[in-house]
Amino acid sequence: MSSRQIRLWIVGLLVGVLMFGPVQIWVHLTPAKAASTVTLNFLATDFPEYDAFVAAANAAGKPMGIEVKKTNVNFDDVQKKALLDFTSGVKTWDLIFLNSSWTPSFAARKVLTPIDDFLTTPEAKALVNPTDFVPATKQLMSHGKLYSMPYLSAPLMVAYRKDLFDDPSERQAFKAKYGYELAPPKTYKELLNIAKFFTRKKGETLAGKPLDDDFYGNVIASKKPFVFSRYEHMLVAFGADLLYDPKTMRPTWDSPESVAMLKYYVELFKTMPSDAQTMTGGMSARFAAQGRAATAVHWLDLMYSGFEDPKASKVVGKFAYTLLPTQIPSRPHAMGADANGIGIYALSQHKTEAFKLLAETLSTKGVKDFVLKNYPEFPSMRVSVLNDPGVIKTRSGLYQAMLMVTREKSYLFSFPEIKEWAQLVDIACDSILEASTGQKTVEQALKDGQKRMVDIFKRAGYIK
Amino acid sequence: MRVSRHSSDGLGQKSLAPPAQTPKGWVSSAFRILRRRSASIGIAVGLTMFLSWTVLPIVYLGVLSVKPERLLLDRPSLNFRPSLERYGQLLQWDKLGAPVKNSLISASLGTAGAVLLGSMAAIAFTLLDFRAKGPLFFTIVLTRMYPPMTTVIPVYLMLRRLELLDTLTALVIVFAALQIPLVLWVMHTALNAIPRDIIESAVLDGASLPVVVRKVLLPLSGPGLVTAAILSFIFCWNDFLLPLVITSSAARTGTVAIMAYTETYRNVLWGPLSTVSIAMVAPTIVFMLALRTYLVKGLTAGMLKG
Amino acid sequence: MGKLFGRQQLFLGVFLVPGVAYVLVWRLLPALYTVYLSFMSYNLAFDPGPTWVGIRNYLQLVRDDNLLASLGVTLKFSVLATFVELVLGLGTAILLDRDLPLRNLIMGLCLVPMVLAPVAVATIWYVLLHDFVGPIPHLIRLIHGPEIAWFTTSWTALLSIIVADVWEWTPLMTLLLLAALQGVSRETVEAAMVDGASGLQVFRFVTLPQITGMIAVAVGLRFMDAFLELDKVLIMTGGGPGTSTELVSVHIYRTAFQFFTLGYAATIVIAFLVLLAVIYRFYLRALPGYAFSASERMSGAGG
Repeated sequence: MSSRQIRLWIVGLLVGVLMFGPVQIWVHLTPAKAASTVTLNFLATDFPEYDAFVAAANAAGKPMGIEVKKTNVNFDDVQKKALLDFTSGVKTWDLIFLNSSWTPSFAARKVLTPIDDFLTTPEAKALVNPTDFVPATKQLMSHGKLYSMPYLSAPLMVAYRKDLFDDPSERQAFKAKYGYELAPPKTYKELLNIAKFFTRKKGETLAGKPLDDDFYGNVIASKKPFVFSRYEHMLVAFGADLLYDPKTMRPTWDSPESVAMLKYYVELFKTMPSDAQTMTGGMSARFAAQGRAATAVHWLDLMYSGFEDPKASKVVGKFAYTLLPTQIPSRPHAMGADANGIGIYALSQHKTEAFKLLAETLSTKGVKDFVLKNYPEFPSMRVSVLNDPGVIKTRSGLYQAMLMVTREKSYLFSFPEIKEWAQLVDIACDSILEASTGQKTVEQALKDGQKRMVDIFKRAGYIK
Repeated sequence: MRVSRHSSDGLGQKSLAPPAQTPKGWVSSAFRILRRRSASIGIAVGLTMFLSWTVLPIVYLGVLSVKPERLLLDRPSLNFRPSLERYGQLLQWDKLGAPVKNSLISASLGTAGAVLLGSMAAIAFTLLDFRAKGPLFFTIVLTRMYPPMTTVIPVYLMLRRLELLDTLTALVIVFAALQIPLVLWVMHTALNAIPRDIIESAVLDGASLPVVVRKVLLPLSGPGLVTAAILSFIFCWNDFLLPLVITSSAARTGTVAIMAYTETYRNVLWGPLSTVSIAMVAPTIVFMLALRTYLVKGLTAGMLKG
Repeated sequence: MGKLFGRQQLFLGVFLVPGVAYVLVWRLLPALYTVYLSFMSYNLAFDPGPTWVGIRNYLQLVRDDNLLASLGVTLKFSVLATFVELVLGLGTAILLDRDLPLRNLIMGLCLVPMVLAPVAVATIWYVLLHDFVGPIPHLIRLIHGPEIAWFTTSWTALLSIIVADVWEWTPLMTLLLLAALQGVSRETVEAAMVDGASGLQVFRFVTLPQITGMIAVAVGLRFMDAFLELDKVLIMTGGGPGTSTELVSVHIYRTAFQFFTLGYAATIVIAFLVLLAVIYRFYLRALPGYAFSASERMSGAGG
C-alpha cells in the first residue's frame, strides 16, 4: 500500500469514528430514568447557600422519591434565562432561585407559580406557616402574592479589623491625622478616611510590622452586577432615588445626589485592590480573609463564614461588624431588605412534587434542622429560627451582629417594582465601573447612563 | 485537481531551489550570505522563539489540567505530582464530559448532514446545466460570507417556534446549515477538477448515474470530501456564538461550558476549565498535525473565498 | 454535461433541492428576516411579538454614543492586532521560507493556534495572564517588574485581547505570506544579489513588491475578521473594565441577549454589515490588480 493510501485509510477511519461513535453514544447513553424517582431541575447559581439547599432537599426528598438536580448559571443570568426560557416555552425547569430584585419582572411575566396557589389545604398552610416569615419576605411578593419560598435574607454590613482598630500605634497615628479617635465608621466620610488611612504599600508598616504585600483600606465586590447590590445601599444613603423617580417615571441617574455618590465611590475605589472590579462577593471575602484589607462591605453571613473558617482564613477572630454608615441624617444606616427565595417554575411538569419538597425542606422545622446540622451561619427567613436560643448559641458573633440590625434605628428601603430593573442595573454598573476605572469622568459616565436609561423607559412606554 | 504547481499547498518542501539545480558561481555566493553561521543561528533562535510562543501556552494549559485541585489556588508552581482525576471525570458523560459529549454529537452529526447535502448539491451543480445555475451557486456560497451574528436572532426565534431550544437537534440543524456552503464549494472545486472525458466515457460505457457517482466521482474527489468533512467538523466543534444563544443546559457544548467555568461566583474553576479546554483543543491539534495538507488547503481557500 | 444523463437529470434535481432548500431556509431567510426585524421593536422577554416602528431604530443608531464608542474600540483593536500579526507573520514566513530539518512538524506546530476553538484560545490567555494562577504575572513579579493588572485597566485589557488574537491568527498570516514568498521569482532575487544589493535591499526592492498583493489580501482578511471578535472578549474581560473592551460584536450580543431589544440589535447588525461592505468595496478598489491573481492562486489550492 502506498503511503497515500495508508493516509486515506487513517482519514477514513477517523471520519468514520467521528460520525458513528456519537450516534452510538447518543442511542445508548440517553439514560432510561428510573420510573420511581422524580428529578426536579433547579435553575440556580453556584452560591454555597444553594449547594446546601440541594443537599438538604435531597435528604428530605429521598423518602418521597424526589431528587433535585441543580444547574448553575451566572447570578444575573438566572433571571435572564428564566425569563427567556419561559417566553420560549422551555419546560426544563422546576425550581428557580429568585432574588428579590427580580420579583417584579418574574411576577409581570408570571414565570413562577405563586406559593399561595398551593396553600389550598390546611396541612399545606400549616407546613409553610406564612406567619413565621421575617418582614423582608415582602420583597419576594408582588401584588400580595408570594412568588417563592423565602429562603435567605442577610444584611449588608461593614466588617472591620478589630485587631488593627485596637492597635495603639495605629490609633495614635489616626488621631494625629484626622483629629478624632479611630472607631468603627458611623458615617460614609469616616469609612473613607479609615479606608484611606489603612491603604499601604508593600514594605510600609502595619500595626508595627512591615508588610510583605500591599494592604488595602477596603474591599467591595465591584464586578458587574455584584457591584450594584452594594452600591444601591450607598445610593439610597446619599439621598438619591433608586435609579428613577416612581412619581414622574423618569430615570434620575444623573441627579446631584447620584453624582455625589459616584464621586464618593470613585474615591473609595482607590482604596481597593485594582482587581476589585473583577471580584465577586465570594472573591472579595476571600481577599479580606487573606488579611489583605482593613474593611470590607459584604453580606454578613458570607463574611462571617469566610473569616471564621480556620482552613481558608488568616484572620480568624479578628473581624468585627458594624451597620452600614450614614450619609444624610434622614436615612440612617440605609439598608435594603435583600431576600432570596426558591420558586416553582410556571411551566414545570412536576409542580406538586416541587411544592411538596420545598414546603418540607423549608418548613420551620426543616430550616431549624438545616441550621443546626448543616449550616450554622445560615441567615434564615424564619423568625422563630432566628430567635431560637439553640441556634443563637452556635454562632453568637454572627447573631449578635444580626441583632444589631433590629436594635439600631435604620432606614429600610425596598426595591422598586419595575420589570426592566435588571437592564437598569446593567447600565448603572457600566457607569459605576467606567467612572471608577477612570475611563470616563463621573459626570460623563452618569450622563451616558442616564441617556440609555431614558431610552429604555421610552421603549417601555413609561415616558414619551 | 486544479492545483497550480506554484503553491501546491503553500508549504511543500520546495522553498529554495534544490542545490543540484542551482547554477554554480555567483548564485552560491549570494546564498552564502544567508548560510553564514550567524544567520543560521539567528534563524534557529527565531524559530525556537516562535515555536515556544506557539506551543508553551498550550502546554501550560495542559499542566494546569493535571494539577491537583487543592494546589490550583496556590501561586503558579510546576512542582507537584500530576493527577489524572479530572480526565477520569471527563470520560463520565454526566460529569465534566457532558458538554464535550454534546459538542462531539452535534459537530459530528452536523458535519455528516452538511457533507451529505452539500456533496449531493455539488454533484448536481457539476453535472447539471440549468439557467440560474451561476446565481444560485453564488447565493449559496454568499450565505457563508456573512457572519453568523447576522442570522443568530432569527435562528433563535425559529428554533424557539419549533420548541427546539437547548436540544442537540437544534445544534445539528444549525451546524449543518452553516457548513453546507463550505462543503458545496470545496466539493464543487474538487468535482470540477475531474476531467470531463472520464465521466463521459463512463456514461458512454453504459454506466448509470448512481454508478458514475459511486465509481467515478466519489473516488476521484476523495481528498476534497475529506477536506470538506474535517473543516466542517472543526468549524462546528469550535463554534461559540450559536451554541451560546440556543443552548442553556441540556445541550450546552464544550465551548459554552468553558465560558461558564470562568464566570463563577466563588472563584474561577481552574480545574474543569483547563481540562475541558484541553479536551476541546485536542482533536483539532491532532487534525492539524496529522492532516495539515488537507486542512491548510481548505482553510486558506475557504477564507479567501469566504 | 447534463444532457449526458438524459432522463436521469431529474434524479440530479433531487440531489440539488435538499441542500439548496436547507441553506435558503436556515441561512438566507434568517438574513432577510434580520433586515425586516431592524424596522421593528421587539423585546424578547416582554413583548408577544414584533411591532413596526419604521426607521426609529435607525435614528437611534445615530444617537447611540455607546455604539460609537465600541466602534472606536473595535477599530483600535482591529488595526493594532492586524498590524502586529502582519509584522510577526512576515517575520516567521521569512524564517520558514527555506529548507529546514523537521520542516513538516515545525509547520504543523506553528499552525496549530489557528484551528483551536477561539474560546480555548481565550482561556489559554486568560490563564496565562491571570493575576493569581498565571505564570506571566508571576514571572514579572520574580524579576521585580511592574505589577500589571492585565484585565483591569482599559488599555492592558485591550492589550490582553490583542495578544490572544495575535497568538491565534499570526499563523494564518504566516501561511499566506509564506505561500506568496514561495511564489517570488528566484531569478530576480539572485540577479539583485549579483548586482551587490544587501539582503535588506533585496527584500525591500525585489521581494516586497512581489508579495504586496498577498499582504493586502491577508491584511484585509484579518481586519474584517477582527471586527467579529466575540469569544475572547466575553471570556477574558467581559467587555470591561467599564465598557472599555466592548467591541461591536459584544455590543450587539448584549443588546440582543442581555437587553432583549432584538429589533435594535438587528438594526446594528445591518448597519454594521453595510459598513463592512463599504470598507471592503474601497479596499478592493485600492488593491493593486495582482492581488487578485495571488488570491486566485491561493484559492486554486483549495480543490
